Amino acid sequence: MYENWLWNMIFMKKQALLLQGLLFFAVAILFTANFNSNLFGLGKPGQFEGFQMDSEESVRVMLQKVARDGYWSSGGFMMARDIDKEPYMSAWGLQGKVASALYLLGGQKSDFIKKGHFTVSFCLAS
Amino acid sequence: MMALFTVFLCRRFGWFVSLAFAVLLSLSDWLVFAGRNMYLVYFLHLLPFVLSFMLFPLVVKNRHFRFTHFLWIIGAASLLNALCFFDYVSNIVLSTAIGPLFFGICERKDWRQISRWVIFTLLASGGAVILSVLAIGVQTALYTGEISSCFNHIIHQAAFRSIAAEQNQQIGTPPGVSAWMIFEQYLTLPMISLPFQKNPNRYRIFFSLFAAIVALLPLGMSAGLDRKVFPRFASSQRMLWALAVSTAWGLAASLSWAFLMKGHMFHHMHMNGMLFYIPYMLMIYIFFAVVVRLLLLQVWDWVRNREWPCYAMEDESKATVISKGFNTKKRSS
Repeated sequence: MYENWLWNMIFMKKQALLLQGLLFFAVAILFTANFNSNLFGLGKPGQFEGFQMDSEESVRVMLQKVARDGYWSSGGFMMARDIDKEPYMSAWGLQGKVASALYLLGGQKSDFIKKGHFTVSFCLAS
Repeated sequence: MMALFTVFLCRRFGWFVSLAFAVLLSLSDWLVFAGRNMYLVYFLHLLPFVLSFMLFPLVVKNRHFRFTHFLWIIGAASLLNALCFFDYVSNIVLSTAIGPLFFGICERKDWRQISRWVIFTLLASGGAVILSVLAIGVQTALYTGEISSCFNHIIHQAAFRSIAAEQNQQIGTPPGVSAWMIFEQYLTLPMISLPFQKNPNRYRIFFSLFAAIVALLPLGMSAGLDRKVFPRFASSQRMLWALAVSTAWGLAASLSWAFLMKGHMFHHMHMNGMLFYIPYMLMIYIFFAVVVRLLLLQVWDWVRNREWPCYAMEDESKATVISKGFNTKKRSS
């Protein structure tokens, strides 16, 4: 009797864990696809594609500056949308530091931004 | 992170709530717009709130996971975010108190203990933000070579963005424009779009609707619902009140930036819709799904027992018997 009860409990627990694991993977895939490519077409046409791309320019320009002038050329700050102007000093710029380090280590590939979008989407989604 | 949070909701509130949360999150306009942006790194904005909500049950129930561990983790998550981005920092700091609030009320802890938890959590998160400001100061001093000007830029930005500033037209607010006038515009921002519509004027659900829900749900549960007629709600009363308080706190957290930094709100209406997800919209999704689940279960109880509330209300004694019957069944199950 006791063994049966224990077996049922373990089995139920395994089943529940399996279902929750399935839920995790299904939701992670759905969210990643949605955050990365607006799966359900939310917002006005073009709103998703252009959303805060001017802000993201500060990361893109930092990548260019790091590739041209070296990793610490901007003092660690992100660039204010112009490679030859003063950097943007309102934040420490951790995301820019990490992105530019990965950019240099990864061989400065052209699809870096695309992969970056996917990675950030995946972090939020998973 | 949100998939993990969805699984956590499944374990805590059941399948219906987690699936409803996943659907609502998938249709959330601003979250989807900001989700992939490499500058905004939106997952870091939500990380302190999600960790607070997911880890605090361990503080309440697990002896090996102490409150100080929780504070270190919340501090680290807040620091990580503040090193990237300063916008919405008041939302992020205040959102970390939701875990202690919700689970403190749920577990019937003393209000003094809950207050202590909340204050220390806010201090840990706020302390991390101060550390990040110091980090900017050090970095600026190293870059410019001037110690005297190391905080100039950040103080200048904060001063002109804040509620008191009306001098700088480029980043401040024009004279005569109040924080309420700006906030009124935000009430008409869409928060959810319904998918698969070719018409650009598609159906949308606006922020004002959710702001109304947070006011109406606790009122409805306390005043409109009779515990004898709605025993499902009566049995979950503690959890519902914990959710109501946490959601109201979440609304206050979201509005903190909206009212403190009115210059930022005035100039960035094209992007600031996303601040209402830190953490208010996420809380209202959970609250909404929990209430709908309880309503469905209540209707199921009525259908199964073939006793509708209108019949039960005809006779007070009968209503009592029915409610006792419900309660007995619930206890035995």
